[in-house]
This record gives sequence, structure tokens and C-alpha cells, in this order.
Amino acid sequence: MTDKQYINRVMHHLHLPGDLRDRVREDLTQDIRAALENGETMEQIIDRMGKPYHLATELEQNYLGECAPMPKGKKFLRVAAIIAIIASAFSLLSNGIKMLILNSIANEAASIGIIGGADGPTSIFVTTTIAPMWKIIAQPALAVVVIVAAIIILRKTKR
Amino acid sequence: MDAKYERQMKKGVLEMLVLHMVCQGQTYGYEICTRLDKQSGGLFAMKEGTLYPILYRLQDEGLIESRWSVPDGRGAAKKYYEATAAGQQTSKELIALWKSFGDNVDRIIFGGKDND
Repeated sequence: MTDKQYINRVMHHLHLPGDLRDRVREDLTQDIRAALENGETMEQIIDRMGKPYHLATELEQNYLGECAPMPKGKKFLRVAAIIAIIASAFSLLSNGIKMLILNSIANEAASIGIIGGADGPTSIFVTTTIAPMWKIIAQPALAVVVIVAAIIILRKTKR
Repeated sequence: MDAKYERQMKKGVLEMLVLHMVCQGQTYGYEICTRLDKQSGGLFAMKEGTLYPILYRLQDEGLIESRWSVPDGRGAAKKYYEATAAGQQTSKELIALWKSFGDNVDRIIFGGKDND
């Protein structure tokens, strides 16, 4: 097993938050390199550090053993944030589709209007359907704000 | 003797020893492991799986910090740990506490009844 393979296997078995994983990868890379430079073989290093699964388990137990499990409130907040992201993304998507449909109706209506000259009822229909402009902008804007807020919550509540 | 007692005693001092090592000058994981092993005659031989979580806790508490060395020539950059001012201070306090613990434990165990 090469040093890279060993580190990748440790990382595969390691279930810790992202920033800790980065630190473990950096330190392992550095320390294996130092050990190799010091004349140790990869077999000796694995003997000393332990097999990938064992090292990953030891790291998790020693780190998480000292940390309190995530409080329930925090967990609930994270779940709520994820639901908010999904709901807002869905609302954005459906809004986009609605806009596309309305746009095509408006274009059609406009062309009818041009062909048929002054077409009063059509223009009234189009304006009343699309009209409240603030509604069209406010809904997706609110969805974007909710998504950004939820992402911030997810990042802040990361262990 | 049950290994559990030895493990518990070691656990209490490992953090202090690692902080002390880092306070002596910039170092990295492999060096800490080999020096601890050598200087303690194998008693405090530590695997990376034990050392890294200690280093990360000390770092999260602001007692040590890591930095990357600028490689000279073709060599790769190295990640070093070094103590902050707060780390140096905490290390001194921990050593004083250890000394006080040791003295009192010795007095209780070896001091005899006269010292009670």
C-alpha cells in the first residue's frame, strides 16, 4: 500500500466534520512523509499507526469522546434549514416555470394584438394576469433570502 | 494490574505533555510521537489516532496554532505546530499544577501518618 492509498483509505473510513477531515489529511500526509524520510517503510508505518479502519476509529473515538453529542435543538434547526432550502428551491423552480408559461402567453397575446390591431380585452387580460410586478419579484427574492439564511444556519451549526 | 488504571492516568497527563512539547519549539506530529516515545522509555508511546485529537483540541482552545513552512528549493511545504502566548502561559500553569499534585500525592502515600 502506498502512502496515498493508505491516507485515502483512512479518509474513507473517517466520519468527522469537513474541517477536521482536512486537518487529519494534512497531518497524515506530513507525518508519513517525515517517517519515510526518517527511513521507515510503509509497512512499519502502518504497523505503528494501525490499519486504516483502526486509525479512523481511534481518531473518531478520541475526538468525539471528548465532545458532547449535538444538542437536540441544534439538530432540529439543521433539519428545518434543510427543509427550508428544499421548499424554497422548489418554489423558485415552479415560479420560473410559471413565468415561462406567462411569458409565452404574453408574447402570443402581443402578436395577436399587433395582427388584430387594438385588441382591448386581450391586453386587459394580459395585464391583469401578470400585473402585480412586486409579487413576481418578491416571491423568488424571498426564496433566495430563505436559502441563504438556511445555508448560514447549516454552516454555523456544523459541529 | 488492570490496564484501565494506567490508561486513565496517562490520559490526564498526555495533553499537558503534548502542549509542553509544542511550547519547546515548533514541531509536527511525527516528531512529537517519536520524542515522547524516546524520552519516556516507551511509557508514553502514542499513536497518531490519539495525538491528532489532542492537537486539534489544543488548537481549538487557542493554545497552539499551525502554520505552513515555505519550502526552500524543491522540498514540499511542512505543517508545523507552535504555541501561542496563551499556550505558553497554560503550559506553565499545568506544570505547576502537576508539581503540586505530585507533591501532595507523594506526601499522602509516602509521608506517613505524621504528615496527616
